[in-house]
Amino acid sequence: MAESAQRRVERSLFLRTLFGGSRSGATLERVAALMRDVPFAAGEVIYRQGQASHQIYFVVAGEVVLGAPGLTPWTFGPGDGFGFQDAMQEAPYARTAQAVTPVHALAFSVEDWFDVLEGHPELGRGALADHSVSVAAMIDELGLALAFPRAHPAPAAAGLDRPVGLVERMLMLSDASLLVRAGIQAVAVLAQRSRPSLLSAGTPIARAGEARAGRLWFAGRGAVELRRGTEVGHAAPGSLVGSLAILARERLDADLVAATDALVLELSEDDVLDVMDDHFDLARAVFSYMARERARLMELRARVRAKSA
Amino acid sequence: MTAVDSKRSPRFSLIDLRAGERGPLLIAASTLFGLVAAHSLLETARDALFLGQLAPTRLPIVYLLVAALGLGLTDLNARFIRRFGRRNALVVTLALFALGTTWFNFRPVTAGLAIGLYVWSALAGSLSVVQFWLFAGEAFTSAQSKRFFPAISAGGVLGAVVGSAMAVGLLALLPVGSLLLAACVLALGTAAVVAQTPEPEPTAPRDLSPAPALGGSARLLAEHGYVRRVAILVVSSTLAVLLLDYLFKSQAAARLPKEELGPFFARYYGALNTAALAVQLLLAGRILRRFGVATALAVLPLSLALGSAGVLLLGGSFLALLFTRGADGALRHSLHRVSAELLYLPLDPALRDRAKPLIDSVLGRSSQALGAAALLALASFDLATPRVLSASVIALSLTWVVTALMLRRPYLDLFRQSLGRGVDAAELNLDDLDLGAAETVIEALSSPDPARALAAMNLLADAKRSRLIPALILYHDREEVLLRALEVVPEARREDWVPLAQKLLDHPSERVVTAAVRALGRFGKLPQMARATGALRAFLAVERLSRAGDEHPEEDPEICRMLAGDTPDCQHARAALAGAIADRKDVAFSRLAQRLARFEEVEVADVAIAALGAMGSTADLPFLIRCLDVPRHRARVVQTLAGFGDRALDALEAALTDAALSPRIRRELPRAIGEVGGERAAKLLFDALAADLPGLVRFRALRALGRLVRNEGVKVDRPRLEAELIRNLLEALRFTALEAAFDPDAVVPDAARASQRLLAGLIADKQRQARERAFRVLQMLHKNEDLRSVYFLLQSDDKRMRANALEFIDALMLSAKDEPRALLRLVVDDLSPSERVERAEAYLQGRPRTRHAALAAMLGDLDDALATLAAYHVRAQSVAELEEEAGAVFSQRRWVPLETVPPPLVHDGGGGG
Repeated sequence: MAESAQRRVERSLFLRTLFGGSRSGATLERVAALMRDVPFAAGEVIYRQGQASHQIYFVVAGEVVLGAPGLTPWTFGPGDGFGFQDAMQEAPYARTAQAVTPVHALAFSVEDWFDVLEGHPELGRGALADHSVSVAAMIDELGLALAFPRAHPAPAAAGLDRPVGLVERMLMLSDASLLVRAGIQAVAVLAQRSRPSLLSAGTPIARAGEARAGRLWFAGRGAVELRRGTEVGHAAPGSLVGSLAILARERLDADLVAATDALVLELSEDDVLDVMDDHFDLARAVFSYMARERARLMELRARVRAKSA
Repeated sequence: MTAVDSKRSPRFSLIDLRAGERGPLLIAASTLFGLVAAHSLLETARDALFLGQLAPTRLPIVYLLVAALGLGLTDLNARFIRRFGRRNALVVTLALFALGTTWFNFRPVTAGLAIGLYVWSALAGSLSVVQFWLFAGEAFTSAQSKRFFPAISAGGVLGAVVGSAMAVGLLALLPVGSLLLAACVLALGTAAVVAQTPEPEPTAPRDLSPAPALGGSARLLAEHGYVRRVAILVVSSTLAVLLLDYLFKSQAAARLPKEELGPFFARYYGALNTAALAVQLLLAGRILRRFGVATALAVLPLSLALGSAGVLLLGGSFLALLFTRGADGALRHSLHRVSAELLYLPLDPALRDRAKPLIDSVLGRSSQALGAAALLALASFDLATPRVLSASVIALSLTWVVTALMLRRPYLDLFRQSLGRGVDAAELNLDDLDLGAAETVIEALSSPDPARALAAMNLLADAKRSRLIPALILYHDREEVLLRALEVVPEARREDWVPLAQKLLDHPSERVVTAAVRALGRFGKLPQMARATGALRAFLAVERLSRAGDEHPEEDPEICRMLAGDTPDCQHARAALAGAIADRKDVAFSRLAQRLARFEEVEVADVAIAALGAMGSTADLPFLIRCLDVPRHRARVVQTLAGFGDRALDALEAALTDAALSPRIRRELPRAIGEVGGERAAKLLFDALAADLPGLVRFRALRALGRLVRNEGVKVDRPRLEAELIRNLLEALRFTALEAAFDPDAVVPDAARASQRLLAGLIADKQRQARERAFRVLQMLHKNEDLRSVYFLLQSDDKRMRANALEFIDALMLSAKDEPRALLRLVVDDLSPSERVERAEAYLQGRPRTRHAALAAMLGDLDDALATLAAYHVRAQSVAELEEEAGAVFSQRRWVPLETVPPPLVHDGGGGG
């Protein structure tokens, strides 16, 4: 009994430390109650590549390495979470997780996580904010060109003289990488609230230093560039310009420019968060996107660091 | 019968069959048919031969032999199955059955042979049946088992009928030995059928370890309450049936000449098996579906108890005995057999593999041995009379009934466990903390990591244990720690913090100084300060105006300077002003607080909103409600409104129906009402569900109500909730019908492909939402169940988990009314859209049956999004007959209208937008 009360307090302290004061204590206590302590011996395999990803883990103490053939290993220490990427994407674990040293971790079922998120939207908003800060830091380290490479030349937006109707907006948003797993109902509401802009090649959408004021931009048709000094990043059709890192920027740190004739959909961050509250499929889609984005950037960063080491 | 049942097509009334299931079902049913037919023939032969050679008083010896040998075989059987698989074990057993039976046929008939044949037939029969049901249990999911087992059992009963009929026919022309050869042929044929089927995939890795020893079996019973109850049921039923069987055979032998025994048993068993078939086909499935497994199990023992009472009261009447034994014969291999097999479904497969052979074979055999020994003892004292035996059967049957009925809850509990995820979410209660845990928290306060120190402070503050936070925390070097400490540590009952807080009045951070001024001012501990900071000026201004009873403090020149200024000093002053107003709780400052609440500075607005709550004036409620329009204030506003308690509900109720309020505000109202809590809030939310409100507001009301029910246990109006459940289930079916008629995979012109995809996606979404809402309502009706898990598992890719979820729902809804139960089954069952629609025909009067009709229905739908998308699709596909309706949608609906003019093209250098 004594150990269990102490354990619970430790878990609670760990979560409150990790997630900070912006989350309600009651919410964090609920999360803490759903977690369980799991110890791993040095060298022990926590999960294997290819296994179903039902669990998310937080490292309380020790070191964990995630590896797979052909991929640069990732190392996680105290306070880091792992297993998220795959669980959020509802995909099998892409890497094998192994304890490097004796590890004390907290395990959490991914469905319990979604349960809590749905009942406590502020937790989701907080997770999104944390993610955007961490992704912004990775992008700053990598530079715009590496972080937002040109995938393939995007055709210029054609048919700029046609109305940008509801269906077209819905199609653009439903194909957007951020929203690809969202339900049509959520996409329809976002399409309704979006504001389309048709821009000729070279027209700025917004300038560096400008207050973002809660705006988000989706590259609908044509291509958009992020320009910061000599750095140039690319946003292909269907992408969220600047990725979710843009949520961490109160003021833009790069010019957003139409690289070709382009159609851009502008949405407010508040609208997206509002719709997430009511359409949990959208929240899951956003979390899945967060996981993919994070995995991509972590892999890039690991390769860059390995090269320079 | 429900309305749905009566209108279902004939093929559903006997067997609920889905695509691809016919083959496996036929194989299983024909296997049991052959197996039981062979056993029927053998059983008739053995009874005739035994009673022809020996006195009935020898039966107990045979029972004992069967029990003893059966015990020995159980372990062997379990190991054999584990090693070679269930299918191969059954094939080998049937082959050996045939071989052994043939050997008996060619031996001279002696008393020894009669005993040997009796033992052989009992062992071979029970072993092969156990193996068959283990095989079937793994081949089908729990949902399939529930649907198929009655049909499979019917195959077995039919086998018994045919076997008995064959016995009658053969005995008219040939000696008894011919029955053995016929049984052998049937057994071989059945083995050949089984050999063709694939081995079922194990649901858990095959356990090749040695079978548990007797001690392990005892531990199994000791540790698993459910298994123990099933064991008691099997023991009491075995004893009751054994005693009844002895009573019946001894009375038959006493009343009939030996040469008539064979034909008598053949005809009697034939009649019983026919009755059993009728029960199986017409009643078993219905009883199971309507009353559940536990109640179905009680039918047979109740019949035996009543029948035996008749035998007892009528002085051993043979007619009463025939009827009693008849009830046994009609029900045991039909309704009872199916129900008994279903009892094992909720068990984990590995546990099932251990428990079933233990119970069916070991305990069954041991019970037979016990019964046989009891019979021998009774016979030796001339007490094996109809009176004593029928009284014993009554007592055992009543034990059997009670045990069966007591299985209902544990049966459900096991399914519940198999569906559960995560741990039991018990919240941390600091009252439970021992010294060690408290030390951990207090130690964390001194952590060099400011986040950990903050975490510890927040934890203690949330638990209302701020007094455990030492005042020395006010020496901390981090600003965020000091700010939080100045909020939670100061209280009237403590003095230790005062000098430390006073020292902070000289802190380099203005935010810390502001917080210190506020804390000290709140408790009247503010000393004379040399430096007139903005915070001090704000606090003193509030003091001055409040003491003077000024009714318009917002017009005071000093206050106006603080509000208008843009300097950091003014910003700090505003923050301090809001804090001082909150602490003062003087309603005269209400208008000033409202002005502060409109500031962009989050810190200022946040505290000002809290101040309005602290003042507690209901006149501020409309303002607070309007603040819900600003996303960054929402959480604080909701918390503040909740602080008003029931006093806020009048204003919130009026706002719900105030169409002049922005949709954004109205959407937030259910959450605010939910946070107020209590029975009246629950009633408001209930009313909102049925009111003419936007769909999103009603959905949020449903969510908020669910939270209230879960967190506060408010009473629910069950009839209204059931009506809401039915409404959502019907809505889900309506969209299923739309989907089936619309046919999302239909080939359409290129121009219509995009709108086709979106429309199909929207219909699928709406189906899913209606199902989800139904489950939210169901959760409120069953607040102690984890229906959220069930909802997710019903969408799982794992068919066994889906089946378990279905069985759980079935069992849970047994006590519900017919309509919601039937509708829920229709919505959640594993069916294709067209099958689902066909079965739900009774509830979908006037449903669209063609694509054209589906589009017309969507154009007339109340949902603007659906109607508008349908209108787009009509235009894209150029459906001329619906052009007028589509035009009406575009002109009348409030959803995004069709844009006829493209937005202006923006060039670099301005213009447009």
